[in-house]
Amino acid sequence: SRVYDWFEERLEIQAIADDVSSKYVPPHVNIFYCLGGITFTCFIIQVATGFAMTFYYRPTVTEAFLSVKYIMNEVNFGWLIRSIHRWSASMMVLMMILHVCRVYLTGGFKKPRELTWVTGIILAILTVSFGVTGYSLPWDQVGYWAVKIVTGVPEAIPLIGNFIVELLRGSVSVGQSTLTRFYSLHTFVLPLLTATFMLGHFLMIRKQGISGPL
Amino acid sequence: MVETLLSGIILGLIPITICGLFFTAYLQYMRSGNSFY
Repeated sequence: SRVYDWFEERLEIQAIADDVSSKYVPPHVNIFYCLGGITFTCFIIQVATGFAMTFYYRPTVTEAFLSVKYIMNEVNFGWLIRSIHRWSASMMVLMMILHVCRVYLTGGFKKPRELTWVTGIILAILTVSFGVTGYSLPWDQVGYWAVKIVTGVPEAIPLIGNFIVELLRGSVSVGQSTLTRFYSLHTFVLPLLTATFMLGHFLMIRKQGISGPL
Repeated sequence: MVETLLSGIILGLIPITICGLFFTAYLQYMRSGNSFY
């Protein structure tokens, strides 16, 4: 067709189509190879529901809890959006752990896929960081005390411990600057880093193909 | 705060997945004589 030719002439879409359609699923692949994709699906759900909540959430110590309460009680389907966000967060961490189990037990980390494994470990750290920062955002009792404990952990490191604690909290004690930092990390820094490392993770998988049988 | 449903999902799926992975590995081992693998 003319539309096809127009795009083919400019973007060589046939090469992309050939690449996609030439990949076959080898017979040793089973249901556990879906876990990485499920983790990614959870991430997409997190992006969509998280984006929706940014319209109503307010990252200030006086308004955070009230705005979450407003999302849960007043906003149309706000309770559903936030509940999906919370459940999908737990499921993302769980599916990621199961995905690591699959990769480890099938030897998927071996040569030539070391870099895919390394980016995966970085993504695991980012995912947990998402969980830690997101847990405190409602600024309720559990969230407040969690952030106080978590940001206090580096205090045990000699010499630079106190500096790291202040860097995390934005002050000696937990307060507004901590919430601002966590909100910024949760909605800007971590998503950007995660998207970047996911792109690398997926491109390497596409390039090298799925790992072989045992 | 213990969430029963969440704990059940987590504590259920982890052993099921690990056992499943070992079972599929065993199936591959049993079929290793087959030229298909």
